[in-house]
Amino acid sequence: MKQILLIKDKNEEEAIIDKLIEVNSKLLKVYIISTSLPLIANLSAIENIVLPASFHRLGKLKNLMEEGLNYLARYNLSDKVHARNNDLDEYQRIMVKYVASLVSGVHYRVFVSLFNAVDVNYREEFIDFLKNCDENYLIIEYNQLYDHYKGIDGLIQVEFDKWLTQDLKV
Amino acid sequence: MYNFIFKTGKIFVNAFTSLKDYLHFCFIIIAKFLSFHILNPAVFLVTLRQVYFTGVQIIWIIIFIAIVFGLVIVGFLGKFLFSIGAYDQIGKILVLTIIRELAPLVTAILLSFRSATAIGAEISMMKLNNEIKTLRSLGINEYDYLFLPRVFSGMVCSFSLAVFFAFIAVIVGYFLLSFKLNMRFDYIIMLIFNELNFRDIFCFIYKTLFFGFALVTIPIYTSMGVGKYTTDIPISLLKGMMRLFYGLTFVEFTGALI
Repeated sequence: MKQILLIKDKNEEEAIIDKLIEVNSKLLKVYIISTSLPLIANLSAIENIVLPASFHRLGKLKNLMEEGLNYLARYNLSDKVHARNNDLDEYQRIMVKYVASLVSGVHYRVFVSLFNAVDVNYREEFIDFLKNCDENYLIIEYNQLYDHYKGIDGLIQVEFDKWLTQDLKV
Repeated sequence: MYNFIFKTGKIFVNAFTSLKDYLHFCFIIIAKFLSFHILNPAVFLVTLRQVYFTGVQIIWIIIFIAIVFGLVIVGFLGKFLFSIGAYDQIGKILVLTIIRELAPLVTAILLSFRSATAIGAEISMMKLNNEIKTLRSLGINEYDYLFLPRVFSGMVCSFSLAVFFAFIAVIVGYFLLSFKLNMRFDYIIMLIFNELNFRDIFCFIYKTLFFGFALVTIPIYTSMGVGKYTTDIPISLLKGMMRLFYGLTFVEFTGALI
């Protein structure tokens, strides 16, 4: 399911992120993909990918690594397996977090106001990625940037509280 | 006069509040120890890395310092005791100086220079860059993933490096004594074990473990006070090192009472 939540300002964005962190403190239900939540700098891309899954004991480290490597290859990031946060551009960081969300097996990925964060050259690629993404996700974006997402088929606009209760069952 | 009383009161209240918060922080760490979170695969991996960074990388420096201390302490003391005809007291002196005092303290000082500052800077940067918030967003408690492995490795490395230091210093001291006084190794070991009692062993364990605990928990606790500005980092490191100095003094003082 592809959903979008429109917000007014930074304060609203921060409040939503805080609420989602609170939800995750009990059980990892969503993976928040936001520039305000960076990758862990002293871990490589693959270590960042397997971290949540291995911490929550979702599989053997070796299998999780293998899964992570396969996903990285699928998104043309095989050469970035051992790269650290500073060696990746913003689009690659988003993809690493997305792969981590796949390995973690969460119910939802939440993309938080990423359009402006992505380099101008990658914006189209980012929208194409969202169009082709089959997993459940929620885009949180500022009102004025909504037009950029109109090309995504089946994108449903939601309210945060309803989304929490109906989709996340919180 | 009013200003003086006000400022003094403020200093004491701040110090008391910090101490109270630090003790609360320590209480959470100890509770995490007892809940065996260290056995979590992700946490265990971090623990192994921390043991490597804290304990293994420093080993050559420890060997070098232990050789220097072994030569100087045992050399001078041996010469002095020999000159006053009390060389049979060498065991007691070695136990007192090397095992009870020098090994734990020198190890703690080396670890604070090398690891405590690194841990303080690392946690400060993670706090500043919102990486700790990232961990929380992944349902990972920072006490489990970041703090517990560092505290555990600090304690393990402090203890094992101090044992290592004492062993090397005694061996080097033996070589010196064997040349100068023609003493046999088993004779020196017998002298040491004759003097070594339960209180000395308890004092050694108490000091090494609490030095290890203090030299990791104090910088971490101080680093968690970093706000949104990069200028907070040097201030927090400075504060952390000063607090660490008080912490080590406290452990040394209480250890002396044993």
